[in-house]
Amino acid sequence: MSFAFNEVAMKEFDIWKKKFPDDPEGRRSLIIPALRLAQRQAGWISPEIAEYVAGITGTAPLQVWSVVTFYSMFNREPVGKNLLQFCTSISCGLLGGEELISHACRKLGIEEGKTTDDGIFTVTEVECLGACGNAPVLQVNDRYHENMTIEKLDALINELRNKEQG
Amino acid sequence: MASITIDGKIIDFSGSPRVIDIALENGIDIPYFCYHPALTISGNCRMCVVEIGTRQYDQKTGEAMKDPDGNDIVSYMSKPQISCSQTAADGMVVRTRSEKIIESRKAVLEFILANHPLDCPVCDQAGECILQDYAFQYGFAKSRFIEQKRTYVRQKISEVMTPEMNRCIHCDRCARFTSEIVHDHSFARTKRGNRLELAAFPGKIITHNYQGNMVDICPVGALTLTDFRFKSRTWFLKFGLTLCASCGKGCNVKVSFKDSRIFRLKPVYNEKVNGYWMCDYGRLRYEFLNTNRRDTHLVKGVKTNLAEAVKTAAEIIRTASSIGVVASAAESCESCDALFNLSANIVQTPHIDYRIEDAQVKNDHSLRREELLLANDPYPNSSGAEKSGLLPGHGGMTALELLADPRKVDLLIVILDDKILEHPDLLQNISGAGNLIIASPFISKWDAAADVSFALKSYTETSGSFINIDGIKQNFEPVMPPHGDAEDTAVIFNKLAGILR
Amino acid sequence: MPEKRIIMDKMEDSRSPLLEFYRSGEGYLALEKALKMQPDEIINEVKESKLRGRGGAGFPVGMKWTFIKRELPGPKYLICNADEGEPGTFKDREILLKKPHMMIEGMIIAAYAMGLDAGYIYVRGEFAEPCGKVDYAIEEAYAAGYLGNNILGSGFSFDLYTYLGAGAYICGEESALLNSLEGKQGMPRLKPPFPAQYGLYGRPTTVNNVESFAAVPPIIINGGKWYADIGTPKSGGTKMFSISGHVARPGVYEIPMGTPWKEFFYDIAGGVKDKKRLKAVIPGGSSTAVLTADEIENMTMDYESCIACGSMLGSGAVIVLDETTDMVKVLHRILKFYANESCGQCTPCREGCDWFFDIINRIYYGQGRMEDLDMFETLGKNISPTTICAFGESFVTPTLSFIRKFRNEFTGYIEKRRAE
Repeated sequence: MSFAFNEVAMKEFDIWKKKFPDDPEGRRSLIIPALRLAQRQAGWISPEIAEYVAGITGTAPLQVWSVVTFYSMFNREPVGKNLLQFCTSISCGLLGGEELISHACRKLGIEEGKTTDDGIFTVTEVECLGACGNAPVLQVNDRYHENMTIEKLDALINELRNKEQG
Repeated sequence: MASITIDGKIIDFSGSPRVIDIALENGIDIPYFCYHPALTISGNCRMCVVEIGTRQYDQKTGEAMKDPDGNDIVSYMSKPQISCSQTAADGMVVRTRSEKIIESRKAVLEFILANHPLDCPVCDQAGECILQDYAFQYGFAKSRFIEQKRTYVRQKISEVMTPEMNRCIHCDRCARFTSEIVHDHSFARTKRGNRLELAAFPGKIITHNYQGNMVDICPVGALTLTDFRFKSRTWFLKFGLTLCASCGKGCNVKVSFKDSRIFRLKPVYNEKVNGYWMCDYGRLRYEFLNTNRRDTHLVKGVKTNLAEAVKTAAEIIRTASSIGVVASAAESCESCDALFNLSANIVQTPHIDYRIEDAQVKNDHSLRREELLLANDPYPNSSGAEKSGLLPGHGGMTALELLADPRKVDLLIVILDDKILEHPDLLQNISGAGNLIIASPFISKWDAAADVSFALKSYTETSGSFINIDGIKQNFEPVMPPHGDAEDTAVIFNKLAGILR
Repeated sequence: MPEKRIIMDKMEDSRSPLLEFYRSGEGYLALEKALKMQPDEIINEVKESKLRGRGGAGFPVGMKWTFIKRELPGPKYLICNADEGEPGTFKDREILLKKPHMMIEGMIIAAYAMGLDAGYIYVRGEFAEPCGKVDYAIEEAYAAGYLGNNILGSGFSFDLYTYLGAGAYICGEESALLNSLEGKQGMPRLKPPFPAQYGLYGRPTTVNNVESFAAVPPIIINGGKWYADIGTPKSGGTKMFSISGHVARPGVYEIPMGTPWKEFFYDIAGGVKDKKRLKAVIPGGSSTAVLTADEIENMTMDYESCIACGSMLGSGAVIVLDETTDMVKVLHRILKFYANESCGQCTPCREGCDWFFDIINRIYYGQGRMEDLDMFETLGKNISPTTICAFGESFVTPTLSFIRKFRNEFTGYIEKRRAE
């Protein structure tokens, strides 16, 4: 089954096209936005999806793949419904970021970088999220959760799990 | 006219050349990995660093200030600059061997060698590896790196190349080559940081016809030519310069050989013909020169010396009522002239023709579709054969007509080159010819049946010239010794002409 | 000196990001005024203001604006660098979330002054929410006639778009940002040529930071001299400082340049958290040298004073380390960050950065040797001068500062061979 943008993604992609010059260089700029739309739809970027993006941007598959592998926000493997990204950089590290991710791994029974069997959670360690004043910071998919504590984390995990299962 | 001073040498220049180009053209050695004159500047290896400075001038008098020893006072930029991206400016002063620069280059080498595997004993590049050369020049016997070296998972990237990406120094020449020269985007940088990996798209392999050049320009043994892998240490090979004869482009090549065996071909720079490159088709097509070589002349399948063979052939020619000559555009201009002289002037037959391939019949001087160098015409000297006049005279039959039914003439003379021998269907009737004289560097099944079969030298064993598809005449000299009694084509035909005059 | 909230004025109001609210103050008055000025006049005001680039390099903004040659044919571009990635920095996020119109207004004025045709706001990929706020503000601005064709009847047209990155600290470097905008890997370019000559798609381009643009409208309304007078002779105006770590009141504070550190830290930010003792401070983000409590004591918050104390103001990201801090662990985490974020293009950084991390990793996990500390020095000396961009310096400088100023902690790890 080959990948293609659904209607929503295609609509957004059309909006992105208007932001850039209508020439090969301008279309190459569409690679990152297109990859983001694809990842939102599919959850991750497979080589097949990269080829699709190459097609709609008029670029070579490897040009797209170079971008996929360079930037840290593109998932090259499927991830859980909730991608828990724990910052452990300096300020978050000083204020308990590492304890938070360890706790998450223990609670969910997985190692860093892995996904729970029910596909609901993936735990990763990320670099500075730019919200250090409210350290420690956790990003779940697109949303920031700041001033995290172990208690808040437990509550959040429960809430997210209930949402998937309920 | 502007001038730049490099290591005390004042060099005039015009335009906006790069400092590295001026230096190299004037015999000043600057080491580099990622720079290549045919590719865009990447500036990532940091090896070509030099010190750039400007003279200090007295504000009032405008005179160059001098130190107590009478030398110009030069103020150098605090950071070394890479000379590959530095455009020369009038009055620039450059130092390429100061202590700071030597230390800088040693540092680059230490960094490269940190993650570079000590593969020299098993690496094809050994002996022609600039990393080895520089490490030797700058004195690296020991590395301070005691950490775990970065490794990559081996991928299949090609049928022509075998990669050893652990050796990669990330100069990016291979990627720049595929995107800028071949326009193919099949090999590029992926990931980032220490994990940066030159790779192909997952599951895909590189298929363009110029991969051997990637092996050539790789400064280390990260990309190796599968055909040459582990075959020989480079220092055991001799080399000679000649041309590739696998198509009408006539790329200049360096032949590496041992005893009488060719091991590989590499391109030699020629601004007008092939630039820095050659195609894989030509590069890998040399084995035909190594195998099935004729080394004696034959009369009715019996070994004989040249004089006897010539005498017998001359007799057959003299008594033949009609003669057809299938010439070869794999022969040099000089051989073609000799054959023309014999066929048109002495024997005066109209049935002379060199055109075997479609491209020759159509007089096609173009390249194959989407190719950089590979021509449609597989013969190296069609233009030369044409210029020598090896075409049918008034009422004469073409080569293809002669081969289709050799009995239309009393005697068929055929030069069996490597290309026509790849078309056995074209030759299937020639043993039915009344009389048959063949000449070839290669053993074939018609040697026994032919009345006379001459053994020819291949073009790598003689001197001569080819005219390529662009009309450029290129001379070549013998690179290897001939096999046994094999003789120069022109010598044989001139001897025949001499007897028959 | 207390805070002086020029950019952060009324930021705490939840209506702060909205056009209506922005206009209820002085919103877009600067643009109206600027469109009636000559472009050179505008550039001169910015020069007079002594506004220095707020992204970290501190390059005078007014001078940068003179690099673009107005007479060159278009398209010419304006880029806002919102790839706030320097660990410890979180001030631009506040502007994107709460004062997007101020940044937008500054960009329009800048584009008018330099004759630029279109602008992109490059927002780091993780800032999806702030980018959404900016998108909404841009819509409002177009609807109000502040963007698009013939802005406020001036004849000047300018289009503005947002662009989201995808997770790469190095894209905060302006030439890497341009490559990323072009859809490529975010690898810095060789310089020269600089963006003013060869920028986005090879066109003339100016790149400035979010806060730099946000500072422009007040400068136009009140004049460059007013702004310069707020700060020190060499650093004009106010700066938004992010302060985090072991501090009682972490957050973003806007204070005049030249405010004494003691006032900023103790009076405004509340001093060390839980009343512990101050051990060290990283004054300008993880790329700057760490200062001991003694070294920073008499510093004033401006570029020159910070240099005089032995570090750099950078993006103004202050990270506070108290007496319980394990400096080896902190350096380990810093080097892990840089090893993850190196683009890998040039030899000294690609090999050297990972090497540095490998060494500190060994030291941290009890496999360190005394010569490792010397290795940092000699390797560091070989990295800084020859990299393509400032990333090399960014990890060498903090490393050397940590091991020189807290050497005993490192030798402690090496001698004890601490087992995990």
